[in-house]
Amino acid sequence: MNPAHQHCGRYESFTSRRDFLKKAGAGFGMLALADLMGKNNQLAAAATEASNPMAPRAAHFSPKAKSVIWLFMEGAPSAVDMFDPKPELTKRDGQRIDIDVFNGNPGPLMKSPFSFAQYGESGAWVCEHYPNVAQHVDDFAFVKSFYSESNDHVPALYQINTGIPRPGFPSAGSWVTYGLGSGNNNLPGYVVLGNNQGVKGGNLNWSSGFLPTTHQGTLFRAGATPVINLTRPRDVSRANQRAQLDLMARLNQRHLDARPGEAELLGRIQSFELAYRMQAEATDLVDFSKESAATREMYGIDKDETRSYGSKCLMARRLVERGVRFVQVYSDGEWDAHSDLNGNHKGHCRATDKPIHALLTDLKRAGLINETLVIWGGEFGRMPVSQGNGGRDHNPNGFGMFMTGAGIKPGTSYGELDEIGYRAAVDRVSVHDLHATMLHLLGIDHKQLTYFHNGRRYRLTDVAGEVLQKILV
Amino acid sequence: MALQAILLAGLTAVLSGGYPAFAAAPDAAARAPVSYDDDIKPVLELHCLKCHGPEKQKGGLRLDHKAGAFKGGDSGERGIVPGHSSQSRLFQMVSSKKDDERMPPKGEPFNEKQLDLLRRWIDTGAEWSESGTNAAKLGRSEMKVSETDRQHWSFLSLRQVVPPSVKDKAWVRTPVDQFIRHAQEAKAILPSAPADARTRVRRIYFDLIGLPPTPEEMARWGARVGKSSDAVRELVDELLASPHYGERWARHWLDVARYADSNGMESDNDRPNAYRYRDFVIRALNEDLPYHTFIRWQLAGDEIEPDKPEAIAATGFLAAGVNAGLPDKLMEEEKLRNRANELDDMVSTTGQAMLGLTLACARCHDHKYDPLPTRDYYRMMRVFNSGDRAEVPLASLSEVKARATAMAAWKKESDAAVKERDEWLKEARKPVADTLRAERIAKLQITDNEKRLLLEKRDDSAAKKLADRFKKELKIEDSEYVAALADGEQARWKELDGRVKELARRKPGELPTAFAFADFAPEPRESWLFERGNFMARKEKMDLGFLTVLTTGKTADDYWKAARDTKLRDDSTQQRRALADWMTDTDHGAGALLARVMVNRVWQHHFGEGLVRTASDFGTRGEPPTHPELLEWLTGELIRSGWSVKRLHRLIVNSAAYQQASAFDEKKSARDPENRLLWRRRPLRLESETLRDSMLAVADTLNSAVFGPGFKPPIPAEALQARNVKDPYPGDAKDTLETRRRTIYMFHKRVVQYPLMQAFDAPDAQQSCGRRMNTTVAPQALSLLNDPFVRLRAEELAGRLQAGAGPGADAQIQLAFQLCLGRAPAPDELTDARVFISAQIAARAQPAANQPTAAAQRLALIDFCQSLFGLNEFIYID
Repeated sequence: MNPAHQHCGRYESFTSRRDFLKKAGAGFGMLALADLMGKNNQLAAAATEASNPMAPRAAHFSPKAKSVIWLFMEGAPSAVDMFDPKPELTKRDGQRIDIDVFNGNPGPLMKSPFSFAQYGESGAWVCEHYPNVAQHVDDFAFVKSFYSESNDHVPALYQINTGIPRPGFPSAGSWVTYGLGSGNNNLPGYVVLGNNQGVKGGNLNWSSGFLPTTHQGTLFRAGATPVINLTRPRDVSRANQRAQLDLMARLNQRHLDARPGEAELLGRIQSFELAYRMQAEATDLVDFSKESAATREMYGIDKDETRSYGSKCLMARRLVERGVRFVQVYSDGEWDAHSDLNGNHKGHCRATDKPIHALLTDLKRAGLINETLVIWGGEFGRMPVSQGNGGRDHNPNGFGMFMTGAGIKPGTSYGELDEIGYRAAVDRVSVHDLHATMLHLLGIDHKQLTYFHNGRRYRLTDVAGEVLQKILV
Repeated sequence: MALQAILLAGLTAVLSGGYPAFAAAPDAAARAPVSYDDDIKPVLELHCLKCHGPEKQKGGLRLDHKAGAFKGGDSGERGIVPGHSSQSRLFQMVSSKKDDERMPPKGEPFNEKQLDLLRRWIDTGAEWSESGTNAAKLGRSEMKVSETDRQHWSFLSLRQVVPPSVKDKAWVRTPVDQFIRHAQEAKAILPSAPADARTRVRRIYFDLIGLPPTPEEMARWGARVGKSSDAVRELVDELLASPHYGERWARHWLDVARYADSNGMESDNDRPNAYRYRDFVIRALNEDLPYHTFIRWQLAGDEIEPDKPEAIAATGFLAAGVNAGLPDKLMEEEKLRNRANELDDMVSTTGQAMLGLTLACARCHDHKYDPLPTRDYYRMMRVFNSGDRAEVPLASLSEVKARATAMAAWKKESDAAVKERDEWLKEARKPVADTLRAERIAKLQITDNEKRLLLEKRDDSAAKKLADRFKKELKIEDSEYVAALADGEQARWKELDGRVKELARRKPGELPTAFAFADFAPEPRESWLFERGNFMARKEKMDLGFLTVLTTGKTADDYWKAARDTKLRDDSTQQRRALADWMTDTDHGAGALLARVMVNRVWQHHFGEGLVRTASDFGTRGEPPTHPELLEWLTGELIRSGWSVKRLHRLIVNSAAYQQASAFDEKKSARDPENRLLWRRRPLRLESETLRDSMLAVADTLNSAVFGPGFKPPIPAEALQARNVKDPYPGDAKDTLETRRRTIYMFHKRVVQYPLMQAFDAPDAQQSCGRRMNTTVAPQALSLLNDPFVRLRAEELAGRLQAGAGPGADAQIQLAFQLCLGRAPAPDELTDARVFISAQIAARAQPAANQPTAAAQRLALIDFCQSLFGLNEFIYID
């Protein structure tokens, strides 16, 4: 049996170290353990393996993408107002239909307040407020026929992140680092660049669920100290801390010498060294001063309206450049236009258009686009009928996303909503399909990436999921 | 790979044991034509479809439809060759004489009669009529729980077990050791020597109360424990009697009960009275409440002991799960979805926590591995569908009733007084009302005509409209009328109003409440089986029922009738009481499994691994026990002792197996790498709570106040990331006496996890957790290096050292080792520590650092103390 097909089972195949591996299970960082130990190489190898779950692992098959950047439009953008204009909706503007909506009291059908134009050779439609993103449509695959289950934000967020519309399950990013490790030992494998107002449903959106906690997403905040506990106590200099680590290492080493065979103890010694290095690496990561003025201008960091998302997009590039496997870039606030969709979406377009354009341009320039899958989308869509004063209520029955980058067939469109943009009608695509496709591009067979928990083997895609072959090269 | 090998590898055994073959008497009837529908289909369903049906197609073979059965599986050989049974792979496989080839691989083989039918059916042309076969009919037939299903070890009723005899009698301290040593002797493996006294004292302290022994305690017990086993027994008794025991062990149960202090999901509302359940668990453990009562109360305390507040609070178990708390105005579909999820949480947590069964798997289809039909799931769901979480009064029925009566009487009196007062005023004000109104109108900024309109034609629609515009300006308060009244009338007002106020003061007080569970009404709510788990697809109304595989000789109705016949309250359905009776019934219900699961949980926390290593899965896919007889004997002991958990602790902790040294042994490890024979005790890492409590304890700032509402410790802004939370976590929480309580009393907000706990693998309380992860990750190191909580405790410990040991570094180091590690430093360690401290002082006293000597000394000592918190020896207990 091919061990690469046994990610969970890989623990089982190391019989002699199984007990230890099951217990230790997680940790960061590849350390020169053999040097540190010098005398017990097998133990060192075991400790390294267990304390370094981010070590890159072979995929099931040759991957197209090494990293994922997920441009997460929290609050749910409207399909018919962004990339999927519906003439029939315009025609029937003001007409009442029989429809049930989340907040009750549905209004009549409402045409988009935006004008649309076709771009590129693919002739993809893009709304007037995304002119920069529109320049890239020939690289995109639009998937226009998504559907999910819940009408409520948080279950929908949990579903798009974990496949299940309930809290407590591992997110896609966690499954990916669990399956593949990461390309950088000194940084977390899964980084979340959060909504500056917080994300609904909190950190369960990037939870590792029942997978080892190492695989949970690490939230980076804007600013000099992106990660919790990265700043030393006020009274402690770097040299002071180094001395503390040295003292601990000496005492721990003696303790370990009296307990040969306890790889877990060794793994823990390494985790302190890694923590120390992480502080330096993270400091370097957040230092944008080496980026050129032109780059910063391109990302819109110099302008109030684009500074936040632009900084996050630039950070995303810096992360994948350093080998980080999975990055989610949440938009700020919410695309949740219960009223005044015009103003809401216009504002979000303004905040994200230029930064996304910059990121795509920059990834291309650096050659990273060929090994990075970029996804744009929210947790569900919006209703074709109006709500309140020019708004739209939640709609899990039909919504769109786009993907670009590694392995994606450029200039394609897949699936259709019905003529008013309410329901996915043709080639319906589930959240499991999205996840299956994402894993496929990373070289993972979604049916083979499993974890045994509470009596059964779990997958990111539960018992479903089809790879969207038609949007792949 | 050959077909049979694939099949053998993949098949899960559900049937076992040999059945006597039917006598194959070829009479006239047996020569009658064979019908697929009547003769063959039932046989295939019985033997084959579990693995070769619509749900699973092991080896690529599917036998529930014609094309698949005729084609055969991945081997390429034809499954059915009409007219030729001997060439049909299906017949070859089921009739094989080779045990390693014959299908089904482990279950009941085809008997002679069935083989004869199959042979004749194939030989006569294998007529397979698909008329009337539609998609629905192709669907898997409903699971029937068979006698063989009941033979899985964990589902059997309790067996009498006698501890085996051993050669090495001297090693045995409690009967537990006879089982352990017996198994070791069979494999010729020796146990480890007893751990030294200091190690044992430390181990037992952390294990039983979750706190380190003080140097005084270590001195007192250390001297005796090495010398006599009586001393260990005394120590164990003393610690089991400590109030800290319940605080330590309640945490283990709260993990499986997915306890938290807020709703979770988007709004994550606080549950300010949820702590009553947590306190119930602590008290129950400290008082050694019999385990079956502990369980019964959690399911139905309000029905079983309606006058006992702690029994009522116990139903907080059912309420403890995630709840979106959606507003009423939302769309029906979403509310139904939420309710279905909440009920699922109750059913599956009950199954997991109490019975170690993965019931949630049966929500959408019959359980794939265990004999748990979807029907059982929905019959059990009905129990909870008749109620919901609620703020339940913590008082006896008579108090609740008395309060309701008093409240009704008060309301009547109060309403009457208000009415009398208001009606009197309505009359009394008439003479002054017009005057007052005229004064108001005069002051309005309107034309004289409009004023006239208001004064003279007040019923005119234009006047009404105008009056509405100036509603605020024209509003006259009662007090203004009263002020305008004559003196005598004012006195009357005072009298009437005084009575109203007096009554308001006499309003009966609110009863304290718990966040717990209550039924809606005496009559059960209709409950349904949802087709494939879809809450919109109500397939069939459900009667009350429990798990078939764990029920013998009684029905759910029997339990329910008995509960109703002896009911102690009239406002609930008694279904939960029936469930509780079944759950703890060791003769006809789930009692034996309930006890086994608990014994295993207790064992797991003492040894780090359970006898059944899959602590929350006792089903067919779980691991079998390493010591089945021991588990069975301990289970019997638990029940025979009146379900005393403390007695279980004593049997385990006083054993030689538990008190072994933890030393690693390469040779033994090579033979038993997973330590299944318990040839040593494995070092165990402190859980997040114990780690935090230990730092507080050695810093001497642990506040040992017990019970009550949870405290909210400071959480850095970086971790407060959830938006739209209804009761936001305070951004300005401070480190105070209150937050220095034991971690069990910490307020657990579901979407804002406390970072130190999250880093050290504390469960997230979204689902039941029977066994925590034990990861070793850099964020843990970062928190020990940089978390303000850790640094503060190091500061306090340094202060304690300076106060307790004086200014000399050696004495300070000595005391620090005693406090943190329960021992004196070795000479090398003393040297290392001394060198470290003086180097840190020197570094900090450098002109650049510009620290006065005293400050440098103090900071260096703090650095040292913090380093001790990072030691493996601090967090791993041998």
